[in-house]
Amino acid sequence: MERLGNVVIVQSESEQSFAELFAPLVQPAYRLACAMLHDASAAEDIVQEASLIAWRKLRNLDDRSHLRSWFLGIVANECRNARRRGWQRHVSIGLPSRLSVVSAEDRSVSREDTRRALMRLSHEDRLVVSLYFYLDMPVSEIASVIRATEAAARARLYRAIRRLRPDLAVEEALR
Amino acid sequence: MSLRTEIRSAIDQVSPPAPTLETKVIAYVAAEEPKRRRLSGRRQGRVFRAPLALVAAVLLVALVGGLILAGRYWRELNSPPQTISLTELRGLEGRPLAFPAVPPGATCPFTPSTVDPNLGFVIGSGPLYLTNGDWLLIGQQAEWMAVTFNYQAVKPGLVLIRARDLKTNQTVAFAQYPFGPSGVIATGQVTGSDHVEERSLEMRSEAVARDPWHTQPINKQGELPYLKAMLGSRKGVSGCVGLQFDVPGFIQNLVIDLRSPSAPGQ
Repeated sequence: MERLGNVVIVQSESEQSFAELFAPLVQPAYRLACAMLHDASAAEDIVQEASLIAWRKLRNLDDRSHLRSWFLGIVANECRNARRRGWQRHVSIGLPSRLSVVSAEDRSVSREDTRRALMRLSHEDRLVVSLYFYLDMPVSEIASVIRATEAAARARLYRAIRRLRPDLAVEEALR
Repeated sequence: MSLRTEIRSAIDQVSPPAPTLETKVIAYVAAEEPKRRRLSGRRQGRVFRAPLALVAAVLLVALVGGLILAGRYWRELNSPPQTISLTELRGLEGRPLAFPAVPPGATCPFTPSTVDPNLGFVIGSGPLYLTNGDWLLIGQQAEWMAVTFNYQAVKPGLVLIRARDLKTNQTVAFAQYPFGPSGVIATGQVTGSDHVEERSLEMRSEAVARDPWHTQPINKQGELPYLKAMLGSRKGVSGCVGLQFDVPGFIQNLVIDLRSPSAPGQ
């Protein structure tokens, strides 16, 4: 009964409650999805889907102080799924297309190289790099997102940095 | 420039501000809410707990059975196609490539898209259409795009697919689609290997598909597997890619844009 009671409590929370809980997380989620997919419109879709999943599963979250890392974990998982079903997503468009207009600035070699290097990383490596360098997340919270120990998260981050920039010492990269 | 600045600068380029996203997300979730509340209002969870366990057990058995069948099917798809006639294949390979010439500096003559009443936007005039293409993965050797075809075959026979970068005349590699069953089989000469998303791709010079009469359905409804091919452009190519389909009775040429979204403009 208690569980059923919980469900009722969670599901009777209003749209306002959802906004209070998740609105502050939407932009970090969007930034993470952009970092993972390099596709802004796909990132928006991901955030919407992840928000719905999170709202449905909110009752499974024991400690709401971990809401941010829990939610970003869902976003990361949706990004992984999106890459797998990526081309079904574009069935209605039906064409190989340039997804965005490329500006002159965008032709910058270093940015281009960095983006390509990021996209070459595996999903797991790109995730820790994005969380650490782009969302400024501490390793302890990254560990919570990827559901690993802090030591494992740190090891994964170091490994990802070495793969991303073999020419750079990890200590230097972390500065 | 620190690595952090470098990464931020690179990602900022592909993450434009989305100031109204919060509103959109709240509206999206709110739209689903009444439906969820209706479902959760029922107390079926307690009443049907035992039958649900039974259903779960049946589903588990079905899942295991399905995995076994899918595994067998997957192996079959990835094994050399037994029904392909080498004589037929060599005959198709003997046909000359008929790609349009693209002089240096010229604009790529992309094949225009049309709208098919059943398939939506397509490239091609049929019976073979390109129905979808999406940039997927960047490997060490090439950038890979998955393309999907629709073939409304008028007579039995193999489909041979070959591709070239029209500006550099480099070959475009094919690889077996690694994320699910596909009716397109990468074949021909092995030209290398690549590694993407922790999966190995064997790069091949061409691909073949069997016609619908000789393709094994994926279910009892007789549905055929998607015709999905992985096309890999090596670094330094233009992305102006010609595809040639050699099929009994006709040859079809298409020109598509095989550049990744992050590639600089031409």
